[in-house]
Amino acid sequence: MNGKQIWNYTYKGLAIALVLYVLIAGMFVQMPKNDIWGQTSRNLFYHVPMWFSMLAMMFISVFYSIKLLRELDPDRKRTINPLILDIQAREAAKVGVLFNILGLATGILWSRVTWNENIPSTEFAAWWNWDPIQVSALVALLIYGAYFLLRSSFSEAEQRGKISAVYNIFAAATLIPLFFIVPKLLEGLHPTSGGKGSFVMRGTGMTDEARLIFYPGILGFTFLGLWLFNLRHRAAQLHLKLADWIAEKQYQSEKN
Amino acid sequence: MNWLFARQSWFLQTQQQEWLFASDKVYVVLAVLLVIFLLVALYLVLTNKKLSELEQKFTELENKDA
Repeated sequence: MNGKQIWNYTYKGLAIALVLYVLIAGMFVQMPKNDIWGQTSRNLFYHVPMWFSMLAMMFISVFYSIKLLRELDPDRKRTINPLILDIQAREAAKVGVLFNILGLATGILWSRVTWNENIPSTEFAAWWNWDPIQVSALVALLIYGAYFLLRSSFSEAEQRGKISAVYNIFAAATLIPLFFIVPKLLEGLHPTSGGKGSFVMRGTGMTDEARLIFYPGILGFTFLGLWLFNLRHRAAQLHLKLADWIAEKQYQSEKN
Repeated sequence: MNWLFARQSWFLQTQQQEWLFASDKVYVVLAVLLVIFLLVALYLVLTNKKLSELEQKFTELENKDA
């Protein structure tokens, strides 16, 4: 077994073990008393890791986009098919978008049963708060929606890869102000808003016991995202290789 | 894990909020979450296995051609 195989088995096993641990332990650990959140503060273990996983996936995506642009440099000798790097960037962004949707959904449900508990379900305000992080998450979703729209507007594969890679770098750069700077400057519902606590929940009153679940949760969901990304890009690469192989066979048979 | 289950009695007595977590509904919620996650994990494991088989077959096909 080589190093890559060991890493594959390790992170996939850890993904299952850590998420199982977080699901079970998150339900039973003692949470600090809070009049607004009550027992729903346990959602912290499932909601916040979604954002960390999303950020991890988006930065993996931008890593492959940068690699793709370097590979397309005419002065460099190509070492890998740029289309494969494009597939990896696209699939990582797709998994990132999935985590963004899950993060938004868990956040909306959380606010529905806490701050918005007394608002009738038929009102928009029961489901949406215009909280800075909530808006940032929606903006990030729209930015990445535009990334996929942009991709679909090109028919030539290399051009599509090149332009969408450039866009992806700008899209990933916007995540830093959207998730790390804007919520710090504005007041909102989140305990970290308005500069009250750090992004990893320091200064928010989280207990040490809760941290023993929160941090493994971040790792567990990120590994789960990595696994999903691994499967998606491998399947897409196989599809690409098979299409090339069939095209070559047809070309050869026509030639003969 | 003892510290974890020692909290359980405290947890079930807590009546901070009359919603999902303040009663024995927690077991139902936990069971639903676990079933969903285990199905996701099963899907990932089976897809991984199938994909590895297909990759292997394709490599054999390419080798046969060469």
